[in-house]
Amino acid sequence: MIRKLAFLSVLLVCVLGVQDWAQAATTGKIAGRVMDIKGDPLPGANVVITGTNRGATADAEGYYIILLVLPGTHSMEASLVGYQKVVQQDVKVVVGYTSTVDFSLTETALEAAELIVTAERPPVEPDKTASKYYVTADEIDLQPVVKDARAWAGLQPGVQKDGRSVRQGNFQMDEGERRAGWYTTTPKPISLTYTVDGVRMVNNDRRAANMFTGVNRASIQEISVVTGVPEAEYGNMDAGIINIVTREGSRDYHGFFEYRYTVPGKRHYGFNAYDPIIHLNQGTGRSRIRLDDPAWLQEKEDIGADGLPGTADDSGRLVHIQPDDYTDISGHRVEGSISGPIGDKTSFHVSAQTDRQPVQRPDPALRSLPNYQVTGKLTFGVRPNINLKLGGVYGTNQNFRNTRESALSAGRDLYLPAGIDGAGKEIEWNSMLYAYLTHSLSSRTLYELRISRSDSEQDTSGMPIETFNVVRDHDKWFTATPREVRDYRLNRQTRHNLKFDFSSQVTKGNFFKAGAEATWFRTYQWESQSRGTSGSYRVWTMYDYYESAQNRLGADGQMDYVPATTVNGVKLPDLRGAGNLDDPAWNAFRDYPRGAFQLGAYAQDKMEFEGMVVNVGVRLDAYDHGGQTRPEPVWSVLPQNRWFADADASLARQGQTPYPNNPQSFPTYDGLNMFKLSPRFGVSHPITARSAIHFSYGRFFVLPIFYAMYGQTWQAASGRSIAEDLNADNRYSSYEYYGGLEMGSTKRGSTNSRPGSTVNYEVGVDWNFVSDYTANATMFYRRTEDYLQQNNTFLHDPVEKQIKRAHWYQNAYSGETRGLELAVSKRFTNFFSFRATWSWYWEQNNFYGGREWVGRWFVDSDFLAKDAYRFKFAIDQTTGERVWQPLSSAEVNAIGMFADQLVQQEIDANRELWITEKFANQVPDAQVGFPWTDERNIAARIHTIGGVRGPANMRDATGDGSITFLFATPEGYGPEVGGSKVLSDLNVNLVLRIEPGTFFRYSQPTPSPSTANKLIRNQLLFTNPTAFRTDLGIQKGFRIGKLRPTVFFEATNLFNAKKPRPIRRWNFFHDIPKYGLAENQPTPVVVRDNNQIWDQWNSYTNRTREIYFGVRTSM
Amino acid sequence: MKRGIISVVCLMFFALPGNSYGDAHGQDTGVVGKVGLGLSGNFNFPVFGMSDRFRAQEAFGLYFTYARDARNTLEVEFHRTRFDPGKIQEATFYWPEDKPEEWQKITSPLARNYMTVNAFTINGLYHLKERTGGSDGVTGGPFIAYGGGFYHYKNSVSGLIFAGQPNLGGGIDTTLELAPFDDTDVAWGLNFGLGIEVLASDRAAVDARARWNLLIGELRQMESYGVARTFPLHYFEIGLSVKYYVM
Repeated sequence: MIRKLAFLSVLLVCVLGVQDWAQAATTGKIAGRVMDIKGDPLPGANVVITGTNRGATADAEGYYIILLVLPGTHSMEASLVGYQKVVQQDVKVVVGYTSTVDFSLTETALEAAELIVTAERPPVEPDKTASKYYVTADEIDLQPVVKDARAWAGLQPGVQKDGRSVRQGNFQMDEGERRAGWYTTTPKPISLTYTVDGVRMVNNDRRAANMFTGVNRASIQEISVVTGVPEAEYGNMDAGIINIVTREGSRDYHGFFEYRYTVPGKRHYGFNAYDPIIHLNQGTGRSRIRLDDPAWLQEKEDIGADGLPGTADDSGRLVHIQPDDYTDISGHRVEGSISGPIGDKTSFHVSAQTDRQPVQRPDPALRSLPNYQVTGKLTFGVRPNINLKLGGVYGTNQNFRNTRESALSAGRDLYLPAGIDGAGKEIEWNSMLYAYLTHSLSSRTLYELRISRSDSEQDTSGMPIETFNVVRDHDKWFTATPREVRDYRLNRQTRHNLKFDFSSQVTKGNFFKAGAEATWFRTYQWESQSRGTSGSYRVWTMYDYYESAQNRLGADGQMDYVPATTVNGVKLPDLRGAGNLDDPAWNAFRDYPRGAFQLGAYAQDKMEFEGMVVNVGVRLDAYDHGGQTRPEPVWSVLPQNRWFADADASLARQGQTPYPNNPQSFPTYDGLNMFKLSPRFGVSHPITARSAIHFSYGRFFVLPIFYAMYGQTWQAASGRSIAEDLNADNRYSSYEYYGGLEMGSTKRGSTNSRPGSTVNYEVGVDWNFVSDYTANATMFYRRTEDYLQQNNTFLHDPVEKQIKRAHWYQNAYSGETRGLELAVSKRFTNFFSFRATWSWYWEQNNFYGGREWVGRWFVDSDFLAKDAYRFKFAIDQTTGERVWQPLSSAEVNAIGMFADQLVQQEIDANRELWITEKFANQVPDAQVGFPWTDERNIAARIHTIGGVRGPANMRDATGDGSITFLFATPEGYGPEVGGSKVLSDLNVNLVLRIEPGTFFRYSQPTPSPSTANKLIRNQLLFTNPTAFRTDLGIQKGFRIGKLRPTVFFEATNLFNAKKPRPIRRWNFFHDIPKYGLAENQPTPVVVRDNNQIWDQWNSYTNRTREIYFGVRTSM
Repeated sequence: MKRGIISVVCLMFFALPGNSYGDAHGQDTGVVGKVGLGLSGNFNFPVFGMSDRFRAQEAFGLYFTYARDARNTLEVEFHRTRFDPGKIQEATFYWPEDKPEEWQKITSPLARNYMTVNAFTINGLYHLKERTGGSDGVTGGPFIAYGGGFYHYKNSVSGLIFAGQPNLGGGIDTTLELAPFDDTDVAWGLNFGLGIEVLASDRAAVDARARWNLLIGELRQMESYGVARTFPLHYFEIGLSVKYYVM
């Protein structure tokens, strides 16, 4: 059976035929020498890893090498006939490193007992050529208060506390999932990449980075964090990688179980949401909560959705039912794992976890919704030299969509029944499956083949169909019925990878590795949000617009419509009454995901001689857009969109035909395929027996967020309804449903964007200065280039006499960071260990502006006369869609005269222009027409926004750090008190996380310390207060037969430290630096004039101290 | 300051065990292996950014001590400092902020700033010279002191006239004050220094030590009042302590 499975897996790998490589190391290497006590080599000596069939034979000089050793602690044996066998215990193997284990065998005539010695890892890693920190399974087991891989990563020097980025302090804060929104100016890619068993887990293929890492703590064998220069085998990242290797089953059965109970309590700062102060009616001086008023308590919902009392839709339910006390909710968390053998050659390890944690603030659900996470691995020893692993990670969770559009207001929705949210629920799935074959061709040569598939999906469910205005109680204060908003999301990304790696220990000191990878992306995204008010409607889409336009009527060949219904006096589309909606513009966009390919190849060589280790490698990456790009018709009618699309495509497009009669006639263009070469270099050399220095350099490329290449966003113009039945036929085409073409603002990706690049240099020293204490210091310089920057274009529309805005992206963002990372650590000996880290960042970015430019377009009368204008439409009475109409000659004359006046005003104001042909004689030195196109009838004023660089002085350099402290005793330790050893099997964890505040801007009107006590007029940068968080874990173990149950106490944010709400960097908050006030704290003038009371609810958003109790046991 | 010095000296005097030398007769092992209690009196000097806010203050501490061996001593210490008064009442601000031509430099005479620090630390003393005992007479030697723990601090500010108030034509309203606030947290902290210990007997000892205390904490800025952000917090400590080994 096992052979069949193995065969099928290999067959699967071969049949699928897609290629990919990006080998990510998951094993280490053991090398050394076997000698006799005189130091002479013992050729032919056998060295094996105890309990396995892995081993090697010493060569003529006594050297041996064992490749593909799993990370962790091993025992090794060396033997030779006529010599006493030697066993080395506690041989620690780390991914990517060489563990040197030498043996000294004593000649003996008689069979003697084996000699057991304990191996010691060198005090500093000799082959550390770049900043790398690792966490072993032993450390993870000993410090259970750190719950997951990202939390562990965040404790390493140079990694942000949320485990999302490296070496950037808090200066660049737009990265990460769920952060990219309409207002995001720079949709930066992820800077930090995670791999699980060599498979990439985070990707750029949606509107924001997907950072699902998902591995349960009980399944982690090792986490290694490279913040400097990862080797050439790693691509599509920004100089930081975290490799997670999962555990494998052994020849014995093992199990682990943990249950944690969360103690109820208030989890936010400020007033309790039920506190009458929040609900104080300033006008009457009375609280709006009147629990002592029977009439108020018995108020019935007698208005309903139609807003009229006494009608059929009145539910009659109590409006002010007693609120659920959100501060009295407990939580539960369960995690477990089991592992062991299946037959002689197969083993398994699987873990799962789920939790229901209390919410921080009143919410539709008072506990987190169901979420599950499973990690598993099957290991097949097919043959002694062939190993096959099947594994995967799966996670799912549900959340209420508390978006900005739908958020329940603080306090005012208290009486809504739990479980109701106007925006409904969102379910998210993430999964990754892989098959991984290792074939050792000889003891020194092997290849690895890895196929994987990962899938991410977000889907909203239980969404209300349409939007109504919120219905409140008689006091017009508390919400009486759920507020319904539109907040749909349906996203899916799939990635298929095939990886191939070839490795060979060419000589004793030369390890060569080469490989190739191909990744095939498929992604679609569709989101829509509305507060239910006019002009608040936004749509985000990403799919293959070109292919979908070829099949715009769907399989049935008919345009699909949604019937209209009247609700609350408003005509709205009724999706429930719709039939087949197989047009791409409705649901069938899912059939047209955007596809793209990423290809890569690398070669690297690790050379070890005389203590010096050199890593040199090069990587070639290629990216193919997987087809042509065609702007969606809804975009192309905007003149400014047409022209900037031309500009960035460097194409001069000719005629257009009106939308939508022949959408295929809109020109398509090829995106910019990308080829990038990334050299990597690292060298380390010992200084003394207890210290080493390393230098490394690397160049990295990271793909733009896919949304910035393929996405489109638009917002309905002010005053426009979400859906309009433009032809009044009581049904909605997709065109009408999406709010028509009256866009107030637009945003569009561009396939002409290049990958962002990063160059990283670093020099570091590791020093084992005394006993088990080691210090690391690394200085680095890091420069990022070509990140995407949002630009703005404004069309001064002479017809509607409005300014129409559109955004687009170009490679313009850059930044540089100089930094120093420090770490001091003590190995776990004498019952305790610790590690303290601190990183400083001196950063300069052109983050708000810099090279960002703004273009203002002015068409002239010639432009209008040649029918290039696209703002005059008639309504198609069949479809309800707008049909372009040419301007009449009278309109051309009248509007043209006004258009020429606008251009003339710009000339008269002596503004720098790209001038139109008609006005060229007035500005003889100016560029005539658009430089990238044949268009000569549009004038353009281009100006850049000055950037704010910072921080202004070194004192304000951001820094972050952490301290972990562990005290642990073995069983039987300590004095006996009252018949028991209270200090026996005791474990105390303490973790401190130090996070810098986020940057924002302010102007200091008077001399101050930040201006060196001088009066300046410049804007300054300031960081919000540093946040400190201490977590504590204490566990006490017992022994019951083979079981070792432990009871534990844990506390997060032990000292109840406050963390200010992150502030977006382009905002101004003068009162914080000037007077020490918190954000949202009223000044004394406001307090005096308005009697305003400060509620810290909105100033500090972190969770307060939380207490947990639980039990865990292992078998 | 003078009153503080007198207080420290008096405290040290009364805390010294009266017959400690006499108890030493007949003991050969000295203090090694014994546990005891100590009492300290210190002067704490704020340094770096802390010195812009506060002046030196006296402080007192208690500790439990365990002489593990001839070279090493373990201490569990509590000490309390109250930096009071601070310097905020001397801080000036420019008013009205938005009109440099009318600027006046104004102080808040009723402003008050004080900070209390309650430190709970575990310290180690490494004695550069082995302690052979106290029975042969007065002996002693230098030691390195190091330790770490939690420092609870509370920095309270009140009575600051609001510098951002508009000029309504009647001069500054000195009653319009910023609401009192405090920076309160429990900081992880370290201390490191040198000292000299004098063993008066096999049960009693006196030491003098100078230590640097570093607190990973932060005090907020008030730029308009000329006060910059302070992070981390430092103070230098010089003090005397007496200890008596009870068992």
